[in-house]
Amino acid sequence: MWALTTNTGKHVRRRLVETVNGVIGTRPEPTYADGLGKDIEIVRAFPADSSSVVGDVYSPDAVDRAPVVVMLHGCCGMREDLTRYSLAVAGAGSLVYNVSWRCLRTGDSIRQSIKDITAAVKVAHDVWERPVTLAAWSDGALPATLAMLEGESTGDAFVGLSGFYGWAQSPVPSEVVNRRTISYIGDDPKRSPTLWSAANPYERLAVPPRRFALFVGERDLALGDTLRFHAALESQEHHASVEILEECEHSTLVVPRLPAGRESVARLTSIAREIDT
Amino acid sequence: MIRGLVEVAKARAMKGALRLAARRVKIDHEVASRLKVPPHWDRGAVTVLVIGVDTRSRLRRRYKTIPQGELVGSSADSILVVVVDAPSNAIRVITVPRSLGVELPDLGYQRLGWARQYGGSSSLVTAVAAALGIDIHHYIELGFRAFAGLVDAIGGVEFDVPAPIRDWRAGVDLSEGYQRLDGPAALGLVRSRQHTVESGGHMESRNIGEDGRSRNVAEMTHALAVQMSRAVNPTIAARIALKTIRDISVDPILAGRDWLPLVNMIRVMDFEFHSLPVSPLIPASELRSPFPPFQSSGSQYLQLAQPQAINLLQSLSPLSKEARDGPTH
Repeated sequence: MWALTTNTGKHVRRRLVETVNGVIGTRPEPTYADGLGKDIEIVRAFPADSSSVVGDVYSPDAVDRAPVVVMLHGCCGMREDLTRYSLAVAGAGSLVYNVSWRCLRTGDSIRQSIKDITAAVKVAHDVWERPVTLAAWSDGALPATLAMLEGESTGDAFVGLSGFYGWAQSPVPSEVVNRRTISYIGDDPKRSPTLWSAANPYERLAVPPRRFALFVGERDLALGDTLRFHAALESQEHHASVEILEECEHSTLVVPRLPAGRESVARLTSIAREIDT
Repeated sequence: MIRGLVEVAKARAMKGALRLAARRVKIDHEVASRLKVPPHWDRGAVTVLVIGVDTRSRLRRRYKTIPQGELVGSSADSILVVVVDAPSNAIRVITVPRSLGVELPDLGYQRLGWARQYGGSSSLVTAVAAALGIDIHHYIELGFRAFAGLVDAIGGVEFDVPAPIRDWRAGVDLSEGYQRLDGPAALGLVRSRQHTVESGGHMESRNIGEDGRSRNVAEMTHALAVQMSRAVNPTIAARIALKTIRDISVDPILAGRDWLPLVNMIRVMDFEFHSLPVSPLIPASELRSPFPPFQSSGSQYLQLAQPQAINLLQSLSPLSKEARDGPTH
């Protein structure tokens, strides 16, 4: 049974059911979890398109007014890594679509990652018909940033959660080139420099301005890289901000039980609301 | 004659203390529906799920030195399956890693320790029973205050600290060697994952990881069990009943049972300690990010190493009907 919590939410829920029915032919049972004190409706395994891209939807009570966040895990992870964080973001009032996308761990290429991310954002746009904030953790930020820069409607805002955004130097720094990155990007940078150029957000910044917010911990190893990418975004006149969270490391930024994780939830929510209005 | 009278008086005092404890213990009604009906203590193996959770409630009043932290909610830090097997004259303790990957209703594949935080004790019982294929008869849960209180009630625990440990997060500063630890020190030791150790004359930080912490929990449980079996007497039971039992939760059936046979069994039975054979779900090398400066961009989940795990569980505790029959379609 669908449990509708608000009258105005019916329209959105019905669309969601129709979309799900249209693709997989069954109606998922909504369920509830006590996510940090808020009742959140969860729909598991909601497909983004007819491919294997699936995700979980966490919708707060006031779904009709909720800004939409598409959540993306790291390149070596899976969507379950961000379930707790997604629940906390939904608890703070956003509708979260936590997506599984094909990545390094699944042995897929960066092009496939970008396609999956773009498909997920498109479905979010189509189903909820409102601006979408793309939030990506760790090295998941690399294909997510590329997707954001490539498509005009890929996302209305991008939030990097202690992300990796490519390399500022040329040629490609040796520490980035290894067996796994070569396999992910497609070839060795010396043999196929264009592939590596296409995989580097620093070289794709000359597009109409986009909204970027980069979150990073003050004790995060990614701090230097994040500040460098922020400077690059600003130099290309993107709307970019950087948020340095106190007492925060790479992994604690997405742990909502900790103060740094709660702070990042609050700031992400604020950006998603800002975009929505 | 006099010795006989003293023994009778001791037995009565123990009964009185246990009755007081049973009246004061916290009862977790939520978990009851997920438990199986237990056999009598004497007639079969009784499986008890014992959970150490990171709740800090009422900590400040009695234990000011334990770091309070700013965590929201509580999750299972330590998970033990204790099989009280009177017919075999053994109490078997199996440590279950909290990073064991399990399918949680609504939330998908998650770490076992997380079940307690989002689904409560009933979700944790269901997840452990399903993951290990065993029936669970009773549930006991201790927060920080209860654990420290138990250690203090028995006069501290003797423990061989393998190396000097300084961990401000867990509030512990211990030198190496055999020593008696009070409640906060014992708690700090089982919680600590980041040890600062002396090496070659200088201090160096070392992460002992989930494995190291599980090992400490197992060794501490062993030390506590041995000491409790030696130390349990009416005075200590009364001390626990008065000062600590309110910080311990149990299921309603356990609360209503006679605890004396259990206490007597703890005194005389052999303890066996086992850790569940597990392996990483995804090799650590694949979780490591190839992009510097990250060390990892995926979470580590453990899975049961088969057939070792099922063989161990089969030898230690009766499997549940579902596990015996195999999956139903």
